[in-house]
Amino acid sequence: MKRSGSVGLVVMGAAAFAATFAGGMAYFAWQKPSHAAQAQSAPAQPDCAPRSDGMRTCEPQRRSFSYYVYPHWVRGWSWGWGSSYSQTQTAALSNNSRASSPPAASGTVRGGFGSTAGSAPYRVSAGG
Amino acid sequence: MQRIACDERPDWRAKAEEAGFRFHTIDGERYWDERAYYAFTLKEIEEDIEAPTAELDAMCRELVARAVEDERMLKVLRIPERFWTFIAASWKRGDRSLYGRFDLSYSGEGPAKLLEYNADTPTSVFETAVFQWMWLEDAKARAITPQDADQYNSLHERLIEGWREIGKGGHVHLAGAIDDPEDGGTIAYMEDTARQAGLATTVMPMDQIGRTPKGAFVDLADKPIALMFKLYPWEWMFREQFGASLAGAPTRWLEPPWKAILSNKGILPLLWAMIPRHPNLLAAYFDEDAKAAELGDSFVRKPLYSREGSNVTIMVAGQAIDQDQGPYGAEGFVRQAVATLPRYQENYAAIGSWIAAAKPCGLSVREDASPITKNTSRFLPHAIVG
Repeated sequence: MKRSGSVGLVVMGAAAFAATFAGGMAYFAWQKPSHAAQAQSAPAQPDCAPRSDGMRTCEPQRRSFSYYVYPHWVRGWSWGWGSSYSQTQTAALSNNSRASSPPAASGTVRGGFGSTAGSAPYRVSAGG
Repeated sequence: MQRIACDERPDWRAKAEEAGFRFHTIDGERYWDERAYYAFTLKEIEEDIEAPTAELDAMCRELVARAVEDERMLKVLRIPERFWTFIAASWKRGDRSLYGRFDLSYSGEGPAKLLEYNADTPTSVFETAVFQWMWLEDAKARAITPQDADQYNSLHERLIEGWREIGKGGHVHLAGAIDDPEDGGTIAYMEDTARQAGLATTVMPMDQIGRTPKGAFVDLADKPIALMFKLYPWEWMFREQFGASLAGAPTRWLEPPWKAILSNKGILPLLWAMIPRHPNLLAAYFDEDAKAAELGDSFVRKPLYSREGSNVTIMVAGQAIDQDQGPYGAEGFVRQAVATLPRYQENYAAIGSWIAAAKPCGLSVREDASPITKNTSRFLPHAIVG
């Protein structure tokens, strides 16, 4: 298979295949409307906690072999930390209100990058 | 290479939304378009796209190796002198690149021609790596494509491999204009691939990067940023307030600073001068170069720094047949020989050939009614069918 040409073992081919969809599933979770996150009550995953300022820190995904073998990305599947993972991601990217002032005590200043993207003549996207 | 009209999946919008692909429609117009797909033979993919992409990457790296030893090249690229050492140091240190996208003109006949290299901040990565693969799976199941159809697409796997090579076990911060749906979505996807590679991640807005009194970059918790993936152009960072602190800060960057050379369209004439008449290159010259006259009155004029087709003009027989307005061009322009994109019915098609972790690994197709590919140009899936 051309797509999986870099993966030698059949079983790894399946793993990579599933991982692709896992990426899509996680992506879905991040992009859900904020009201969806508010409606959920599951506790946030401790190692992936969102902050009110728009920053989100996550630990690596530790995926066992079974993660890839079983199609947990299918709608309605519940697997381990999956539901809380989805919720925390959702809250993080959908809440854009954030503090912009630097902590006074540290002396750290902010806002020194990002001004071009926000200026009028440029398109909002900084990608190409 | 063929454009094959087909039925779109009735539920594709729901599937896109479900996958988090929310910018499938831009300003009310389709961005994702599966009313047709592009069919390639395996031979076309391997010989005309994949192999030339590897060769173009090698040529670009050779160009960087020369440029960091030759200030004349950095000068002609209009890279501010105060960043030359910063850029050269990143190359000599061997800072790894994660990914890039070569934009090619290719019709299935004759060699693919390099139009430009999105070396620094390529987008359309999620739809390439994930959503067009999902389309292929559905398309085979619904007999839209042959059952044995395949796709040139290991971009997802290569990104994960790239992250492993760059920072497995470490921590990466990812920043950009995360309020923008496309950029925010791209960063979210890149974060997922980083986490699958074993990295801890922090996502933050570009304008919330902090600088300490000692000149180090920190996140919103004032934690040092050791490795930063930024979906934000180097040329913008160079001229912004914190640009002055880049060289003195211990942060490693993705894409690395030496990509500031390759994301500049001035590489088109430099590559042409380095390897004249290479089959995958088009003749190109700087605007002010007397040799530009060799192109006659038909050429494509591009700003050194430009994104998504902005400020590009196509001149044919002295007439501007297409141009896109924008804010770029202050640093100068290049002229490139015309390689009109192949036209299928009323659609011009441009190829995006992806490279990740230093290997060619995927393909995207963008269509537009105009010969200039723009940010609104439609994305069509592809398949290997022979």
